[in-house]
Amino acid sequence: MTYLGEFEQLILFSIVALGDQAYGVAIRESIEERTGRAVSSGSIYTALGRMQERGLVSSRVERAGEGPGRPRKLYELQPAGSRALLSAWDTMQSMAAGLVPRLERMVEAADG
Amino acid sequence: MDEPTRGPGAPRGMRLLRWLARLLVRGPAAPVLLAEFDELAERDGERGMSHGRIRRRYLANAMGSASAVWKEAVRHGCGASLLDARLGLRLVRKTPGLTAASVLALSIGIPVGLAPWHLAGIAEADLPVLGGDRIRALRLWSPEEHSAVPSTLGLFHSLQVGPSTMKEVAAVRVGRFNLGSSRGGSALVDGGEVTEATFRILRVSALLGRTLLSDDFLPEAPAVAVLGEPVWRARFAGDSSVVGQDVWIGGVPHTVVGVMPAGFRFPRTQDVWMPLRPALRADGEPPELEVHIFGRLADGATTEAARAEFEALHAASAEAVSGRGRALQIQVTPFARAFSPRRYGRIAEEPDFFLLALSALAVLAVACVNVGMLVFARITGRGREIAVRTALGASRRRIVGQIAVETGVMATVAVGVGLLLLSQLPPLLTSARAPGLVQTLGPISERMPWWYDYGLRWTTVGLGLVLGAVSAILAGILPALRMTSGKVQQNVQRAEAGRSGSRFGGIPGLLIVADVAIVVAVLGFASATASAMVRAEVDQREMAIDARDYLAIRVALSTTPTSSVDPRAPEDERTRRAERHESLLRALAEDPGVRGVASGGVLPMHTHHRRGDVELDPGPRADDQPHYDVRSARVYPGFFFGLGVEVTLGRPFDLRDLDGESTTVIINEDMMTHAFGNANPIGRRIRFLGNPDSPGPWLEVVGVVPNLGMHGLGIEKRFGGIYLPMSAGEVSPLHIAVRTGGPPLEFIPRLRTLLNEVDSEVGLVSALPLDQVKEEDWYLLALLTLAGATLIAVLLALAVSSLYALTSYAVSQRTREIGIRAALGAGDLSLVAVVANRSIAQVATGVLLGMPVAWHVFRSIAVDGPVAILAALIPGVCLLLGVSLIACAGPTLRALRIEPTEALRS
Repeated sequence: MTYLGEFEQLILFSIVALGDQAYGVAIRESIEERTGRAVSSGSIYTALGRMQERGLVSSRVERAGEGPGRPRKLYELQPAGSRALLSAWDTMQSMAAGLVPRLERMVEAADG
Repeated sequence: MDEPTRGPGAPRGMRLLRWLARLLVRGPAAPVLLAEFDELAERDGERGMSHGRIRRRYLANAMGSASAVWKEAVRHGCGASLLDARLGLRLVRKTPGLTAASVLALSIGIPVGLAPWHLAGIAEADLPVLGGDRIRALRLWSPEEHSAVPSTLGLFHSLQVGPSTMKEVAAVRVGRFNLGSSRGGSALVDGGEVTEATFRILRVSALLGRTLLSDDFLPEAPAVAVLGEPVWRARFAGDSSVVGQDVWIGGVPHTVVGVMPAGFRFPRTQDVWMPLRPALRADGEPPELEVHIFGRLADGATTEAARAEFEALHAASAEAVSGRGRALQIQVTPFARAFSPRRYGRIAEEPDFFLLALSALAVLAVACVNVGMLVFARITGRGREIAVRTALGASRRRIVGQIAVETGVMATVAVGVGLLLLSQLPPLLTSARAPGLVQTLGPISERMPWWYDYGLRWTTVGLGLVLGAVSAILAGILPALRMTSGKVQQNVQRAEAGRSGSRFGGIPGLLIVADVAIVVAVLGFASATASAMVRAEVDQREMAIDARDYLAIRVALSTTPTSSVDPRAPEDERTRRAERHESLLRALAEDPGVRGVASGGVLPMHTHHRRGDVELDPGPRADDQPHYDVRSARVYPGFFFGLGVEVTLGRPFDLRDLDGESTTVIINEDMMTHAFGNANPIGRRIRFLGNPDSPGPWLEVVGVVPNLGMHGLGIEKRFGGIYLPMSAGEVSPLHIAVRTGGPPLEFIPRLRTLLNEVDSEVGLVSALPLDQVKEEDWYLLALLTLAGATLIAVLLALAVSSLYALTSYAVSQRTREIGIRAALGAGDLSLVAVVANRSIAQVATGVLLGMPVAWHVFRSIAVDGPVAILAALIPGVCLLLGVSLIACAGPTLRALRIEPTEALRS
């Protein structure tokens, strides 16, 4: 089974959400909007590079707009990536099943 | 590329941030990332963020990205390096011969390169006591003579006037003392008479009892002594009740008050300590005893401040104390330097050290260049592999990196072996107790200063790693860079295809010539030292006596502590020494186990017979008047009779020769032959030249004796020897040869008893068979011969492996040419000439260049004639040529097996 870290899961979910417009800036903004976490473009690229080596995603370089626009590296989820992400999500859900209410009570108790 | 952030609405300072981002973010992802930084800044602007916030977000993004990219690069780099390391190791294993030769060369070169610094570190270490780095020695220095001048007790008293830079100052006088105990027997030990502050300065506590206290130094205080741990264990079997017992030191009873811990042997190798409290002279001044002065720097004081203070202090009193006025300087040095004749600076600052270090590094450089050549040859042999890897996309950096790993592995192993050798060889060599060597003194290590610690220091390890890295660069990276340069790589590929391609160039050939020349030169050195050893053995066998029948004894005639000597009557001490000398000879002669006794300042086969020029009388003082370089010895009457030697002509010495100033000499047969042409020399006169303006008095030849081993190890021309008469007690230590009825060593227990019976002050320094007295110098010669042989072996291995590599390379390069020659009918001999002529020429040139050097080195060490020198050198040279031919034989045979059709087809 392919293991995915939390950051890798966030990136893969962003790719799913962005469809064919999944490139660095869009992924970064997606994560920032949904999680409130500021991540650097470099860390997204290195994580994507590692996942590409593992066959979870594929990439292609395109120019933005007409003519010599900015280079963009667009990413696409591969079947192995889809399976790994789904598996990671299932794992998390099965672990959390029935525990969320208890966890909420613990937090409430801790907050007083 | 559009650059909206540069427009009128772009935040100021973005140009600088963009430049910083380009600087930080490197690698293939950089263009995409830099474009994204700009796009994000642009979007932030569209969202209405303030310029400051945009700049902050841009900077944070750039910094975070740079960090992530660099981390990833390091992760990838390590993976590649590990792969390179594995490949490198595999290739190292595939060529074990070349690897072994390379590692051996570096394993010799690296420790040789490190040795000067390592040994200087050992010699200069601080005393191993609490705050030992603050202990300083004070000594006199003569700038005119560039040497240290012995310090005196008077100087010590003049410096004890409350210096502010030293807490306290103390002095120690070293000597040899005969130590006897109630358990019987006595033995000579090195000891020190110390002043009151000594143990306070050293801050060392006693293992048992106490050290010396102030009360022990009072004139009326009883005599006390502190023993060293080795003496306590050897003489008292580690008995803890030794404190309070009496011992006899130089015949004077002392009460033991303490035992010092193991390892403490102050000031150098001393093992017993007593208070220094000499009786004053008739003029009320302390006697002019030679002492070592030392002290502990006060808190915050520096050596320079102490030096300035003591120089001022000394300037005021130098004239009165030393009589040499301001011509003498006072030096404040680290304690270990107090015993060096050199200046007070660190050893590493000495010009001699610079030369030594340079020579040592030159040896390492030679090893590196040779290993580089082997690496070069190995890379050449892998031309196809390198070409394939290049074609598959391997960068030059990657290939060079892999070769660097190979050399790095070898250098790392060599550093490890080298450091092991450095840490183990000095203690191993000094722990040697060669057969017969210092029978009664113990191993050499016991005579090494107590602060010597042969363990590796961090500085040595660090320097070793640096030298290893430099070696890897010199021997690996530079040849690899050269070999993988574009042009050369094409040549390699062409060479692999069997066509004429790259050549090694002239440097490897020159290196082989230099290697062979050095091997031959070192062969001269090793042959000369070996020849000297053989000659010494032959001399000993040809001597008029059989040295194996004699026990050579060295005794100290006076071992009395200073406090028991009356400086007002020095003649009493001389009389006592003469009495002891005569009593000892009498006791030995009367012993039933003794057949003869001879005494003198030196014995046959000793290497330290005095050397000097003499001339004959009558004879004109013309320029062509021959001077004779002779050896001389002072001997007590009865010397020749005691040895069992008949006087050939004239008479032996007797009591007449001791009246007043002696004017008689006895010469040996060598001298009679060389100086008198075998004519009767009795009645002729000779004199020592010494200073040409004031030669010595004329001395009349009264006798001639056979040759009795006056030339030690036979490393000089033998013009002859002269014996001078010596009165009783004139020298101490005194040498005595005892002709025993049985094996000489079995007489030693009886000798100890006799010495005790004669006088408990007489101390036995050493006793060993006469045929072994040369062993100490013999040991040094053997070490030098061994070092020479090792160097020869290493250089020969390097030269031979380089020859093999070059010849193999030549054969692989000229396969096609050889095939054509064979097809055209060239015979085997002509093909052999094609392949091996260059290698043979290189070896022959090396031999021709090395022979004159070897000849000169041999002549400067040994005295053999031309025929003997050739006889000593030729076998070694033949061996060298033979090994070289064998090295060329393999590739040459391969060339002879080349099939013309195959070669032409390729």
